[in-house]
Amino acid sequence: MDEAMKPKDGLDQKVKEAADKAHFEFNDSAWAAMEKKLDGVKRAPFVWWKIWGSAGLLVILLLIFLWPNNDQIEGLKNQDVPEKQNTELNENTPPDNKASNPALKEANTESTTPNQSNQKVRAETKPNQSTQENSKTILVIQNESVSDRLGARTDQRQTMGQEIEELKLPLESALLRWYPLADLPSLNLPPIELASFIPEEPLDTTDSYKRWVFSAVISGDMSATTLSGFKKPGPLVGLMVEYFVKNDLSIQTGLSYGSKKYSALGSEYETPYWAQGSAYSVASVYANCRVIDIPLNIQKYFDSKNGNRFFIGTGISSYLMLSEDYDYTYKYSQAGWPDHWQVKNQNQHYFGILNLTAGFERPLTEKLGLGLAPYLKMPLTGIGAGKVKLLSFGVNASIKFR
Amino acid sequence: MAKIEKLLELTINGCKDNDRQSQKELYRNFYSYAMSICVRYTGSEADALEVLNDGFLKVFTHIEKFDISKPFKPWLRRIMVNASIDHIKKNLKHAHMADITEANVHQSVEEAPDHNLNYEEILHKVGQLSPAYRAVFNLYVIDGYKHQEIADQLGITESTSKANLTRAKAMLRAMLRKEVYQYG
Repeated sequence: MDEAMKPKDGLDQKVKEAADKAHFEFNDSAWAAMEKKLDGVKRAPFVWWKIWGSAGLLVILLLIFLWPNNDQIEGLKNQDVPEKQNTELNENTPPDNKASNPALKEANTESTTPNQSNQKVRAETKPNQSTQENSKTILVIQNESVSDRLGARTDQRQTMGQEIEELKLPLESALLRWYPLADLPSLNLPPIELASFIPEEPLDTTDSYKRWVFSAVISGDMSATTLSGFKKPGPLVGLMVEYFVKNDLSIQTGLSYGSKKYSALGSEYETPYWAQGSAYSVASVYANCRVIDIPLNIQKYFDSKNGNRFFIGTGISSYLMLSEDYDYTYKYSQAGWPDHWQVKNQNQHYFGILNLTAGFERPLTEKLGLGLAPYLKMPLTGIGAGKVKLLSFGVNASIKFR
Repeated sequence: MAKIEKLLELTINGCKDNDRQSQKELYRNFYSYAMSICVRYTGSEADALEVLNDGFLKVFTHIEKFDISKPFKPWLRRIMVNASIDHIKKNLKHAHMADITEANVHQSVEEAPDHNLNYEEILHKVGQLSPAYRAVFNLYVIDGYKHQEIADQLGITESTSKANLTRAKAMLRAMLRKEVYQYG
């Protein structure tokens, strides 16, 4: 039945009156239940899963970044090789050979320090051994990296080039080779100083990669609750500090201050906790939030030409919401509903944002560099008073001081 | 009047400081008002109490956001209505919205309702309406929402909202006259 055709029997008025004037006696048991709820809120447990989740993520990332690469794994394997080699020597070498070949004896008794495999090679080709002995010495190219280095240096070492090429063994089987003396032709090689083939520049050492890098960052930060909700960029400035745990791996933290401007639909707000007006009737919200962002990132670097470096990184951010300004547009406005609402210092989101970044840095001087890094920040929790899923992206331009 | 407002302001400020005594004071003062809202939306005092406490929990945990220069009652009312709607929506997932539209209501609506019932009994009668009728009736007749808004909030069409209102009124009239209804 159409409302215009409703009977004028006073039903609406009667019910409205009842709604206004009905009285329900206060009930102590109701308050007791309320107190229980309030106590439950007070004892609301800290959201440990966020901490553990973040920690777990960092551990996984650390494992990914720090897991030894192929060269390192080969190096580790080679640390175990000498024992195996000695065993094979003892099994395969005729007793008279063992006795008569001081080089083998030397090799068997050589201590197997867990160092670079090229040291082992060097030990087997000591210059004080005679040429004849050297010719019968088992030359073992123990791993690919040494072989590569030999190859790389060949061009620079004209006098030794040919011999080194001859020494190269097929890489597929280069992990460990034992050639019985009888099968080997006499190579008639001069003593090889493999030390001269080791790169002069030092390998990564604690001193060379432990470095602090400070940077000032500026960016235009675009924020939205959906991919179509980006409006205009808010300024972002920050100071970062980066600690290199390895030459190509760093941990970064710092503090940045930014303004996040976005618009959202009323339906994107978590309404039960939204006390201002009826969220069902909110058509859209324009928000301007001032935020301090405290990131904890891990970054992996890749060398490029001319000292330039690329990097990728990820981590977790905490947002401290300094102020949140909301302007509402209603589908159906009612008297008393606010057009604007401001919240200050009420929402903090610890470890609530996932950071993803990739970038490029270029040295200007020995100590100064420039960086450019697009980033994406994804919410792991509802952000701000409306608990919206706030996405942010931008490009950080930074000046770095090493 | 000014004294009452001052007392209310003090109570609200106490609640902002998380003072339990102030919270109890506020709860006690507005218990009846809040209960009258929740009863007509939920249909039973037990459910109403649950919704009322959920609503007050939002009041206490978000009291910081309340602008003291504005009247408290409309703010509380909105929260209670929203809490009630959430409760209804949660229950409507189980009790299908559509089935209620099939209630077979006699069109003997011109007879005047029984006006001998007291206010609380009238609200209980409202609460006895089927959930979808009850929600539409309360939102439209008492809380002043428009059909489009009701449709948005309850996830139904505007025409369903209108139809439910008509049927709700017919049923309520019948209930108030103690008529017997058959549900289809």
